Amino acid sequence: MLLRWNDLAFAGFEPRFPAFDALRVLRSFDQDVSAQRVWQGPRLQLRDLGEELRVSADLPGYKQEDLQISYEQQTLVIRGQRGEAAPEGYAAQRQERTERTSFARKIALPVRVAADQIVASLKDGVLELRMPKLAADRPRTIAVNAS
Amino acid sequence: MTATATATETSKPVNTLAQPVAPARELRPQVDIYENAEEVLLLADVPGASKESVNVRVEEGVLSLEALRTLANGQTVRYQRAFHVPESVDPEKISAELKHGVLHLHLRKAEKAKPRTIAISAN
Repeated sequence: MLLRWNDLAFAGFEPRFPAFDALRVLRSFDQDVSAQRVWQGPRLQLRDLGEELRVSADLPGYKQEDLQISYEQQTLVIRGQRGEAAPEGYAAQRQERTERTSFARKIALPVRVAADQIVASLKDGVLELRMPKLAADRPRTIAVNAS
Repeated sequence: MTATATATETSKPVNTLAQPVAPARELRPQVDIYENAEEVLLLADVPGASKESVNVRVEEGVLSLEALRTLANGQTVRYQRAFHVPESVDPEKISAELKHGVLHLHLRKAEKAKPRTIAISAN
């Protein structure tokens, strides 16, 4: 079965965030077919691992210096801009990728995270952000006292 | 198709795998195609794909590219797309590199297909 690009976006979603950016995802699927509208940003995935949140984004062709990431008031902002991808001395025959040279995405996180402990890594065109939750927002087990 | 025409996409996915593979999600990577006198350059977005998994082949005028990616949840994603390639491309001289999640395919043109300048000697 052939699955479409955005089917992937739902793959790793925890049931806790079913409504996360669903509309955005559907709209960007639309763009994938028509390719005529403006690209709104990369596929994003938010996962809740208990102690930390993880956000990953597919950013093929982007380098470390092309990305700008900030966190403020429980909101994560990822911006990217990469240089013109058209190589010199070549005539372009088809350009699906080069329309995707800049984006800005804002993600409202479901819990607070420790801003100074956010770690970002970029490997093989995939950005991954590890965001430890603030102690107060971590899951805890509540003991039941016998009366 | 003229000799200088660039790669055109086939109307349907071409499955060139000799053996069946485990069920995987399939994705059609976005591509850019460029051309100069020497070669056709195809760039394909395959974020997260491993170098070892990249498989490129030309058979009967069809170029197929494939790459695999393992997601954090263990699921496998298969990037796959196929194109008709012009006769001017030499199937023996295709090179590939993977940089920042982008597959770069250099499809060199056969010697006879390259434009040539012919000097005119004055007599």
